[in-house]
Amino acid sequence: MTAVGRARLREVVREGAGNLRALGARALLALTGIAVGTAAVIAILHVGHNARAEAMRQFEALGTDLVSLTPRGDNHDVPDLPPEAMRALPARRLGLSEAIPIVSGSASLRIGRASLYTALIAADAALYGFLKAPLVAGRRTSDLDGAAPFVVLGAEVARDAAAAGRPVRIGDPVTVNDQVLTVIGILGPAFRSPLLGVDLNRSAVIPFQAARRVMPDAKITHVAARLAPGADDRATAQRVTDYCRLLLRTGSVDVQTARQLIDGLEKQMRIYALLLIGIGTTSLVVGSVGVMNVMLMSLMERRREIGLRRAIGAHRRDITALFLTEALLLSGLGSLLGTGLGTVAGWMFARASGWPFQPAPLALPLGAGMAATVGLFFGLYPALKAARLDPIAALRAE
Amino acid sequence: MALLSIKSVDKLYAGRAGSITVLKKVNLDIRHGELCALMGASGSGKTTLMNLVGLLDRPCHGEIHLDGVPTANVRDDELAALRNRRIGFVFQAFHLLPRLSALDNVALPLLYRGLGKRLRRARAAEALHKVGLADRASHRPDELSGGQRQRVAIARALVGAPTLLLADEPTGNLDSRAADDIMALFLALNRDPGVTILIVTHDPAVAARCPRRIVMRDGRVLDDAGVLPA
Repeated sequence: MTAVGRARLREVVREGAGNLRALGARALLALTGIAVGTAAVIAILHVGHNARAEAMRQFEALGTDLVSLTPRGDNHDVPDLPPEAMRALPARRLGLSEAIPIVSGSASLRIGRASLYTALIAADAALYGFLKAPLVAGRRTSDLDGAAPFVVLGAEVARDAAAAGRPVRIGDPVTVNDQVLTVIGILGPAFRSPLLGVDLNRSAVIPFQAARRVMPDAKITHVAARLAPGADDRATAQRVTDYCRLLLRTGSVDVQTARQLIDGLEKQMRIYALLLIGIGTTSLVVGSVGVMNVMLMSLMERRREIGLRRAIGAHRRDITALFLTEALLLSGLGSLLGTGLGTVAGWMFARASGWPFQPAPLALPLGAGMAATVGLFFGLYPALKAARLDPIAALRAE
Repeated sequence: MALLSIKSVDKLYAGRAGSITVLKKVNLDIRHGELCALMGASGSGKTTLMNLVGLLDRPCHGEIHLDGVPTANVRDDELAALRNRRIGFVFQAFHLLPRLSALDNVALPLLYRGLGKRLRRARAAEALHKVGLADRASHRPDELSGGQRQRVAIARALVGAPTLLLADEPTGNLDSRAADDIMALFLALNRDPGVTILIVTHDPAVAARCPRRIVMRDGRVLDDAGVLPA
């Protein structure tokens, strides 16, 4: 662009801004409409992006090669999976490298004066490594403990108990479902597994054999497994399902892989995003019609000005440029405001959910793109209408 | 050669009840440096003729030459350029833009000539000086009296150094003293830079001060003796 062209552009923009200021409250109203619409779309983008990132973080922390086996009964009769057969699954060359039977339930705990309601998990010692749970005091339950009345407390359980009375120490007695167990260890913060539905932070862990001692129903509720390197998740799931059907007399086993869960989650996110973008777009269209309205009103009020400009030598395209600039400024300003507001809203949502905020990469170009589209699309009609005015009639307008 | 030459121009308006002939075989020549009053009762076609001369409208038949340039087959954009360079408009209702200062109002036609802002303002200041309003350059139109507003409008018409100044009832909205001032200004401009001026008016006092009076009746121009041409 030449220097004269640049100067000309600057003038057109400045003139448009002046005209908008003259429109006052009406321009502000149209601006608000655009801003709200853009803010909705941008906020949705940010929230969707961050929700997805958070879900992926949870999966990636434990690996995306996790597999969960859940027994399903035909009626209410949940099949009793044989623990030894489950532990032996990796040796069957089905595509699993690790399999840990888990009995999980819930329990009311009494530690000193604190009374808590937590998850109770009976599992082999391998589960700690599987869920990458660190130890902060004492020791973990071991497979050598057999059915011994020992318990390991999750980080939040220990904290809640401490908040109600005194800090939990190794060797303290804990009443679990009217059985007295001894605390032998306390865990540090562990990752939650969305696939297994296990959160060690809010759990009390006992040796696998101790399930029969403490829990009313000691049947296996899950098997936590891991894919062998290079194994295909769908094929493995099918093989494990078939194998378990042979093993069981009634019922079956649901096999779910992390991959499947992530795919499902992404599908769900996409549906949500589409829905919400639909809502945002609707409000954007309402705002855009507002822009068109303001421009048409401005056109009616400025017919004499248009007539004069045409009389003193303005081409039709000069008039188009004048009005289009104003529409673009209006929508651009609105979108800028909306992008800012939407980002703040997304950031606040992420903060409230305890996620680190990552701006969605699409947000900025989409915000700018929407501004340009809205301005061009809804500004062009009034601008062309203004340019087509007959100068004589326009000059005589009241 | 005549500055403005109108040859057998017809103008018809198509209405719902058939077309109405507003101008019939109008012939008119205006020479360089003339100051003319265009008179006639309302409905005599003087505004229509003015719009044709101002290149805001096109005749149905006939030719209009401005400065020797035929205007019949000129595209819309070129007509706009011709208006910008050769014609200055003064309106009864002033038509100043309320948000612009007097200086920027005067500079507006030069915007469409593609001149830079500094040059535009310098020329506008000169034009304002010519109409005696140099000290009102930064005032907005609503801070000026009617006579002053019309002076600003005249400065705007002059700023592009046009060959023809068209004034449509320039004193129609003014009291008699302001009208006198404006007429005196037109006379001075006609004398000094030698601008050709055509004033549409039905005020006899205004017409009386113009050396040449053109009278219209029923869409025809009477000759200077006041007789309908054959």
